[in-house]
Amino acid sequence: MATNLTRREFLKDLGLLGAGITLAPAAVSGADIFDWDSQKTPVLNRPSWVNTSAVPTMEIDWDKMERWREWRTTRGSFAEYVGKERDDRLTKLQTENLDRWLKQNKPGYTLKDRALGIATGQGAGAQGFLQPKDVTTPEKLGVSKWTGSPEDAAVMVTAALRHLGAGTIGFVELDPRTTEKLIYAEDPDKKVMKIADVDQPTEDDKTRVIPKKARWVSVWTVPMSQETTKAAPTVLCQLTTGLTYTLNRSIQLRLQYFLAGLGYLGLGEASTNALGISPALGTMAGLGEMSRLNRLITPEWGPITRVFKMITDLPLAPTKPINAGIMQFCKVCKKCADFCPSKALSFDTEPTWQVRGPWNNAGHKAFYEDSTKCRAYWRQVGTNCGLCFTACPFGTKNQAFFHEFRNALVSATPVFDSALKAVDDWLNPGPANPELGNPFKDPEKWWKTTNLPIYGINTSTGVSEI
Amino acid sequence: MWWLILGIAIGVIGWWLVAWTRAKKIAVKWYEWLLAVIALGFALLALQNYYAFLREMEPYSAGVMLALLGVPALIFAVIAVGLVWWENTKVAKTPAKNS
Repeated sequence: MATNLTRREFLKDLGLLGAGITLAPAAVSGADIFDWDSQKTPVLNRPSWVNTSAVPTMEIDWDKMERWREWRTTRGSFAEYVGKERDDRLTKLQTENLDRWLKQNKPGYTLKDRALGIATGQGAGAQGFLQPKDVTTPEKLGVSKWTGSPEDAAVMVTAALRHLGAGTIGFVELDPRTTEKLIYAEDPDKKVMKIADVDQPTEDDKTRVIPKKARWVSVWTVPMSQETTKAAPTVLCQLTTGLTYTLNRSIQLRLQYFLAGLGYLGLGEASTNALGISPALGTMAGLGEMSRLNRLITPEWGPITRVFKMITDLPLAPTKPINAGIMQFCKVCKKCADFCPSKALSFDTEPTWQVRGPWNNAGHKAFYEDSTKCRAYWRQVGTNCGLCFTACPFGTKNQAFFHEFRNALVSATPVFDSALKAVDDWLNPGPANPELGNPFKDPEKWWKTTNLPIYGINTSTGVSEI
Repeated sequence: MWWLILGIAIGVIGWWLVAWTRAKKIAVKWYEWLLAVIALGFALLALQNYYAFLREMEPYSAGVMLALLGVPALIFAVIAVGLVWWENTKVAKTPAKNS
C-alpha cells in the first residue's frame, strides 16, 4: 500500500471525500436531498430545504380531537383558572408596573413606546365573520362567477394575498373527520360556530353559521418586525404584535371583497384569534411546524410571524404539511423554555399526549405549556412578553450564510442538532439583565435606527422576479 | 457588487502570487496551495457572516462568527506560509552536492 499519494490520487480522494460529505446527511436521514419536491407547494416559492410530507411532524389523534371552544384558553378563562383574588392582584400589579416604568422612563415602556403602541392599533379595516354588504359581485356586474381549477384558484388567491400583504400562503380542505375539527366550536365571544347544510352564512347574537359547501380554508402568515420583537417583553415588542393584527384586519377585509368579487364566500375572523386554531391550520397548510413553543415555527421567519385564516366555498388545491426538521430540532434545543421567565414551556425531550390544563386542546402530541404561568407573567410586565420568540434559533433574518447552512442541515438530518444548538448559544447567549420587564434588545437603539425595512419586515423573502 | 470586486481581486492576487513564487524560485508544494485555499475559504466565510450579522443588527453574533471562522482561516494561513518558509529555508541551508 502506497504511503505517499501522488497529486492525481490525492485529487481523486479529495473528490470522493467531498461527495461523501455532501451525501452523508442524505444517507443518515434516508432522504434523497437531490429529489426536487414538486409537490412542495404549487403556489409559492419555499426554501429548497423545505420538504413536504403526507402528515405533519406533530402526531394527531383525530378521533380524540374535538372542536375547541376558544374562550377556554387563558385569553378567555384566566380568572377562572387562577382565581379572582390572584387575577385582581395581577391586574393591580400590571397597572402599578406600567405606571412606574412610564414615569421612570424605563426603555421600552417610555411615553414614545406607549404612544406608538396606541398608534399601531389605529386605522384597521372593519373586522367581521361575514363579508361586507357593499361588495361588488359578478352578478352586479352582469357576468358569471369566476371558474377555474382548484390549482388555478390556489395560484390566483396566493398572488392576491401576497399583494395584500401576506407572507406565505397555504390551503386546507375541511374534512368532518379531521381538519374540520380545527374550526372552533365556539368563538372567543362564546358564539356557537355551527356548520350547517345551508346556502348562505348567517350570524346572530348567539350563533355563526358556516355553510357546509364552504370547505376550503386559506391560511396565511403576516411576518412581524424581528427587531422590535426582540425588544421583548416591552411595550415596543407588544406593539409589534398589535401592528401585525392591525395590518391583517385590512388583509382580511380586502380578501373578503376579493372573494365576493369573484362570486364566492369569504368568512373571516370575527375578532382576534377567532374562527379556528391558527397554528394547527398553519401546520396542516404547510406554513410551518409545531414546536416546543406549542406555536408555529415557519422556515422563513421562525416563530416571528402571525397566522390568519379565512373559510371559502371557492375550491382551492390543498397544500401539504412540511418537514424542515424544526420539530425534531425543538426536541434537542429547549432554548425557549430556558429563556421563558415564568418557566411555562415544557422541558420534556419528547412531546406528549397529556395536556397541562383545561386551557390546552387535547388530541395532538405536543409540548403543552402552562398557559397560566405565561399569562401571569404578561400581567406582571403589562405586555405580551415574547421572550420565547426572541430565543428561537430560527427567528433570524437569514442574511448570514450560517443561517442557510443551519437550516439545510437541520432539514437533512438531526445528527448535528446538538452542535448547532451549541453554536446558537454562542451567538445568542440570552438577556444580559433578565430582571422583570428588562428588554432582550435595547429599545432605545431601535428608536435611533431609521433605515430599517418598511414594517421592519424583509419583504423580499420568497420573491422571484425572474 | 462587492463580492464581484472581491472575486476579481482574489483572482488577480492569486495570479500574481503564483507568478511571484515562480519568479523568486520559491518552491510551493501542492498541499501548501491547498492549505492556502482552505484558509481563503474560511476567511471568505468569516467575512460574509461578519458583515451579514452586522446587517442583521447582531454585532455580538458578528464578533463570534468572525472568531469562529477567522481563527481557523488564520491557522491554515500560518501553517501554509510557515511550511513554505521552512522548506525553502531548509533547502537554502542544505549544502549542494557535487558543486
